Amino acid sequence: MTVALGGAPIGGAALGILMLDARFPRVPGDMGNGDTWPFPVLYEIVQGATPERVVRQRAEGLDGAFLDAARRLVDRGAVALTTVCGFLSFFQAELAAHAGVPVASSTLMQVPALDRMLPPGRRTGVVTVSRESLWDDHFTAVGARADTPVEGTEGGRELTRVLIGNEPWLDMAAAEADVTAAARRLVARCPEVGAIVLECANMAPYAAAVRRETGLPVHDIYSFVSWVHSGFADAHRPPVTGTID
Amino acid sequence: MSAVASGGKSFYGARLGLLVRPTRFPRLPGDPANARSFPFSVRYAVLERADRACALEAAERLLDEGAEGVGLAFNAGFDLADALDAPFAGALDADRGLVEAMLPHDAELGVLAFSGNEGDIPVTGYLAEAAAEDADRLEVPRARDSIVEAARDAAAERPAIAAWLLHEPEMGPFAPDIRAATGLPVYDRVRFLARFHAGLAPRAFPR
Repeated sequence: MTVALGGAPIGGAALGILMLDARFPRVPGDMGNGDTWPFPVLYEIVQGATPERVVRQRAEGLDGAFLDAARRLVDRGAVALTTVCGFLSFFQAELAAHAGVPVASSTLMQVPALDRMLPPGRRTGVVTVSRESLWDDHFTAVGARADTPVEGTEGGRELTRVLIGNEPWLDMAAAEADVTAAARRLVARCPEVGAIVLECANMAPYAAAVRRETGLPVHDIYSFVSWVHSGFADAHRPPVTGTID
Repeated sequence: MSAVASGGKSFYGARLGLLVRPTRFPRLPGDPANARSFPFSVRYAVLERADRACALEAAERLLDEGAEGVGLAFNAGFDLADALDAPFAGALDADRGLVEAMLPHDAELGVLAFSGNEGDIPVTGYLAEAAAEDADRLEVPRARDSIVEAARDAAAERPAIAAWLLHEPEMGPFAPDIRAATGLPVYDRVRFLARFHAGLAPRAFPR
């Protein structure tokens, strides 16, 4: 076939990412750092969606801004959408309906799928940037159990303060210590935790450390969204032939 | 990170143990029983019989040797998650729910299966027959045509289909063809296992 089909201003199977209106550092491994991704991404900033407003005030009044930004990404050629904040799970249905493409609003969507792969009596636990802000409906909106064990980094020294406070500097070693300490507290408090999901899209840089320190499988937004994109990825890969090896 | 390495087992870096059936069917890249389907190392155990007892014994051996999680390279009528002390990637149902959760409410997931549950799209024809017979030769273009045609027909009949899930491991090699023919995203067992593996080996990013 040598006839190509167009339809959008930008070609290639690009993942559309709805960005917060923030200025804190986006380090490698963070969704908002283009170097994180091995495939093309399109960014769109949702005006007014500050970390404080999205996490602590449930993104109130921002529905329209998110839906408009989602539409702009799809119009430009995004084949699937995601967001940079796990708290946006309660926009899942609205975003998917409005965008008309697959939407992975939050890493929390993985919880039900992971629960069924764990040993008897084990379940998935979540590490978040703000435990008190993660309500039942953040889980139930994506089919996860409302009583999913949760631990937060807000008592730590660095990560929550920098993200929610939208500060310009991040001590990555201190941030990592916050995340691994929260994971250790989660496992100590809830020994039934058999896998960890990192709610916060800024935590993927520390996933390997959490895996190392807890010995549990660790799922983050990077691996989740990489899987989402893999469904679109290889339309242009050479077709397989009879060669097996 | 410490500069002292810790040992304790015989080999490293092959975290995913995969159980495969004793078949002769050509396992093309894209089928989980072809090691080239994955951008990471896997450790295979070929089952003597595709039953639960055999699978459980093999899974425990893989874990004992150092695997950190075990998965199935085929569809089985049993699950081992309730019997192992490590995560287990068995039925594709987990992915069915996850893909459906991403789609708009009025969209459908098209599940292509050789003989499926209610609601699945039954795929017949050359690839299905060759897999059922465990043929040790496969005419690849003919196999491709048979599965692509089934997907095209299903998409025409059910316009609400917005994504595919390939239920059979033998369909995986043709995922790019199905995507190209229908324009829809395609999920399958190889992708499911790759996501499972990502939990065992989260990517380490540069500092």
